[in-house]
Amino acid sequence: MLELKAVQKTFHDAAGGHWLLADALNLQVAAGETVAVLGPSGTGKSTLLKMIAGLEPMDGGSVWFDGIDVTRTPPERRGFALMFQDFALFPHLNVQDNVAFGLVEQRMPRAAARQQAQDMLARFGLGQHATHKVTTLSGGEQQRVALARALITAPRLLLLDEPFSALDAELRSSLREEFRQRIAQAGIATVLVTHDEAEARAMAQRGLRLVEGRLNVIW
Amino acid sequence: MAERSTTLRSIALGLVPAAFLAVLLIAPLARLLLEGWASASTGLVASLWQDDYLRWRVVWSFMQAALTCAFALLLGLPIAWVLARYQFTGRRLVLRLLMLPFVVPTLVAGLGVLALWGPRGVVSETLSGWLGINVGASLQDTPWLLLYGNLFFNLCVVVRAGVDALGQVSASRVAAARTLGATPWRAFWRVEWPAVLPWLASALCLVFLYCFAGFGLALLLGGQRFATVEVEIYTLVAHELKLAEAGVLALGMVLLTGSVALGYGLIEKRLSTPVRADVVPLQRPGRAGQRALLAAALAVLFVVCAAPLLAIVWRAVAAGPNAWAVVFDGEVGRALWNTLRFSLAALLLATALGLAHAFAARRSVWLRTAAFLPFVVSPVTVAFGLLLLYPSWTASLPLLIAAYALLAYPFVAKSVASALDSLPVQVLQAAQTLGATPWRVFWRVTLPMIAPALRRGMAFAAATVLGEFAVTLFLSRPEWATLTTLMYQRLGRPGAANLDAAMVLACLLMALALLAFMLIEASPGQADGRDEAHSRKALDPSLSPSPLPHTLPSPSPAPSKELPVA
Repeated sequence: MLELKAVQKTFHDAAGGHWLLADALNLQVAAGETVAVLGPSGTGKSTLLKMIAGLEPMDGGSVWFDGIDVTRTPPERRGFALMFQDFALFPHLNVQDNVAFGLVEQRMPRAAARQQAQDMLARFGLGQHATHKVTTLSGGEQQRVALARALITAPRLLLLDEPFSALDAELRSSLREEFRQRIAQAGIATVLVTHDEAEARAMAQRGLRLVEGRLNVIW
Repeated sequence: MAERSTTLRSIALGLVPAAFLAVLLIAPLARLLLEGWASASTGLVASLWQDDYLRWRVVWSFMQAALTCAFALLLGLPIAWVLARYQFTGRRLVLRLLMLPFVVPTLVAGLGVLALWGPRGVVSETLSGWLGINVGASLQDTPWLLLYGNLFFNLCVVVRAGVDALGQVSASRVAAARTLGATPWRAFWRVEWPAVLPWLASALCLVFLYCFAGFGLALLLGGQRFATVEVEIYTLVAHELKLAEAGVLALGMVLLTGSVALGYGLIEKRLSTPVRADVVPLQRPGRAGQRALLAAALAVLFVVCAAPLLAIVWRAVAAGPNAWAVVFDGEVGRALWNTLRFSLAALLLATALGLAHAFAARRSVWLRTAAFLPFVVSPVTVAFGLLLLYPSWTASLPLLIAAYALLAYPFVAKSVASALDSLPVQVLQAAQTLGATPWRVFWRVTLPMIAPALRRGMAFAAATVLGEFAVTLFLSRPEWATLTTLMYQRLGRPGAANLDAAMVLACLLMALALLAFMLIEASPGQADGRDEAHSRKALDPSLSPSPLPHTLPSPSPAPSKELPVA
């Protein structure tokens, strides 16, 4: 279970202004549960995810997972997978090496990692693209590769940052359902950040709105 | 915590290139300025200025740089327009060949001009065979040879800047102008010209700097009358031992180049990052006038940029096997060996410094700016300052190698720094969340992604070091003769045989520079499938392999991409 306790964060912009992004913010996400965080763009939803992932320092408060304080754990040792809004695929690696990246970091031999990545890609309907360059894929395919890459290391927590915003409307709704099923199969705690309430309702058991540094319950 | 340790790391990393710059550039420069200032305060400036000979040197240095700017703009802009707007077979090749002059050593270029237009040059011999006049002899002791040599290097600078800039012009704006009643010429004048003007202005600042601070071409092509201040400084230091006078001249040069560089910096800062929403589509030249324009543009490019190199090859081949025997000369063998080992050592040093500099400069605007110093201060000034400050170190091999590295490493630093700027931060963060430690992120993501830029920077660094001449002339010892110095020696000796030998050596040096460039720049693993990307790159200044300090430091080194201000 993920727990955020009294997280504090003030954002300073280049012009010297600042505003509260998180003000004594608390959040709990149980295993197997998907929680959506809603709010218009610019309210700091992405920063919240990055603080959970350990990519962005917090001004105060702590992050706990399964009863252990991970606030000072570096991102690579948290076992939280973050899926970026623009996918953040590695352009210098082909599709299977992108997916295998995390396995290689876990010291798995490269051949075995590739094999596992190919199996994963086959399950995602991308088997024929394994050796292609990621830049040759369509938006929806890139999105699937990003999810495969995030899920293959069996992370303890999945963080989704506006996962479908880069896709067109039709693809968005079909992928949404596919992603919901795959995440449910994986059975991990998930935080979904989006500005689209329909998307949030389709995917998440609970919905929260980020307003002035706090999370208000919507459903 | 993590934040602080990265900051500490980049400070530590930055200390290495900063110390290097301080010891090899800033301290000698300060010493030189002191020398110049001390002499100037004794009233030497006034007496130098009253010297007709020296005054003419200063005025001419300025004039030849300004004239080159004017010619480069007049010839370069139409050529750039043609290359940016017309589609024709071999267009991409031409765009790539525009890089060639940057790889050619200065002395080879000078020799190329002589091989073409000199008294025994290809043109002269052909014309005197037909018409009975010797064009080459009448060109001796005129400013034209030097201006031609300047154009060889700088026409390409302007054309490249023009092509890049015209690629930024939005098609819909040009189309709007046309529907509002503008002829193609008026549309150019009222829409395209204002858009490309700042880019051209920044390119012209560079051209001015190159010409004003240039040494090799002026030494070879200027003759008695049309040599520049840099040549004069060299003569005063090396032959007449008048250090005070040389110091005053060098002080003036540094002040002048410094202010031009400042102007360049101000212009560059205002240049926006290129966005290419709608590019003006290329058209095939259909009408006779358009075809003539294309032919004329290519012809000018050929005559200015390609013909001198071809003339060298032609002369070297025509010289026959006897001249080529020089290659097996013991002296040449030693020079080749020196060139290779000095260049390799300097290239390794330059690569390490450039990488350290680029990574450290992400956090420091000061360090970013400092990488441009070696571009601004002329090699003669650097060498003179080193001589003054470290008299006991002159003729030490480490100093020579370090000076080479000083001139070469900004290419690496600049290329890697701009690659790092365009590296998306999310990709690095993604690697981190997938379990990669900072070192693994560097090894598996950052390094492969900046590799093309690193190779490109190294290629230009290698070309610079291989052809280095000015610093070598100051700091070298006879037994360290490189191919360039040997070539210069042969040119100084009388007789056709020595000229032929110089041509052969120039061929050798040119081949070496090209080889090094291609070896480093062409990547074995990516040879396929990157052609398409390359053709786009060819027009994109942020990606194009321009050796110029195309973008000055931006004050905010890539802030994190999120959080648009509400």
